[in-house]
Amino acid sequence: MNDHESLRFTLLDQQLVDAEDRPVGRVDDVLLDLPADGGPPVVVAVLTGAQALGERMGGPAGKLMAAVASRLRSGEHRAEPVAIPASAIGDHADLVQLTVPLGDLPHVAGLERWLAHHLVEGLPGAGDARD
Amino acid sequence: MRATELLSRPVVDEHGRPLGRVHDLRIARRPEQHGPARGWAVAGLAVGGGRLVHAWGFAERRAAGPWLLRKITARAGRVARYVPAERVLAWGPEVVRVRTGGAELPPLLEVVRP
Repeated sequence: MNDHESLRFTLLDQQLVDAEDRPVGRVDDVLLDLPADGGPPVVVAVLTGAQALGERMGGPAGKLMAAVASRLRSGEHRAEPVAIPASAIGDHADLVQLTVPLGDLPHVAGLERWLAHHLVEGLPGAGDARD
Repeated sequence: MRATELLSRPVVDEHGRPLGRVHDLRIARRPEQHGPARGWAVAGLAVGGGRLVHAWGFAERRAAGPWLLRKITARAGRVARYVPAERVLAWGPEVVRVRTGGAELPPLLEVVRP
């Protein structure tokens, strides 16, 4: 037996939580890089968000989802899905635990943060929805 | 390259003979890195046996039931093979080409831990 694990069951579609156990999304895809020395592909980032999921789904519905998600994002990197570098991934058992708090990943969960600030926070009893 | 692009990519041997499709990637922590955030590398591929057999976990005996599904997927699970990354000659873009040297690839169930 070897110490390798199934990507399907240990990374793909798993819940991501930040260093403070707050959910930040799911692993919608995994970015691999082929080293120049010819070694096996290495995981360089996990992709999360509707844009990554839409690109993975493909077809008209997937393309539409990815395009809408891309339009809703701001910044110069919005053509690419949200990526969390492999260096920020710690443990993974039932959840994929990041080693950094959500606050250190400003490009992650942008729409959820915007909705929390502009919509949910104004509701009675919402408290500080950004938390 | 996205992992999901690699999933379902056809696999052929060095002579172009089809061996099945990639249904899972086996990943391992990179030994040359240390600490909680050390990354992963692809250790090998799970090939053949059918997509649903892998997606439902029967190929590596992660799922045990219901018995009817277990019976239906048993044969497909047995034909699933493991391709170590060292044997991969090309990862794409159309097909994954592997070196078999004429030898049979090991059954997936012999090398995975459920």
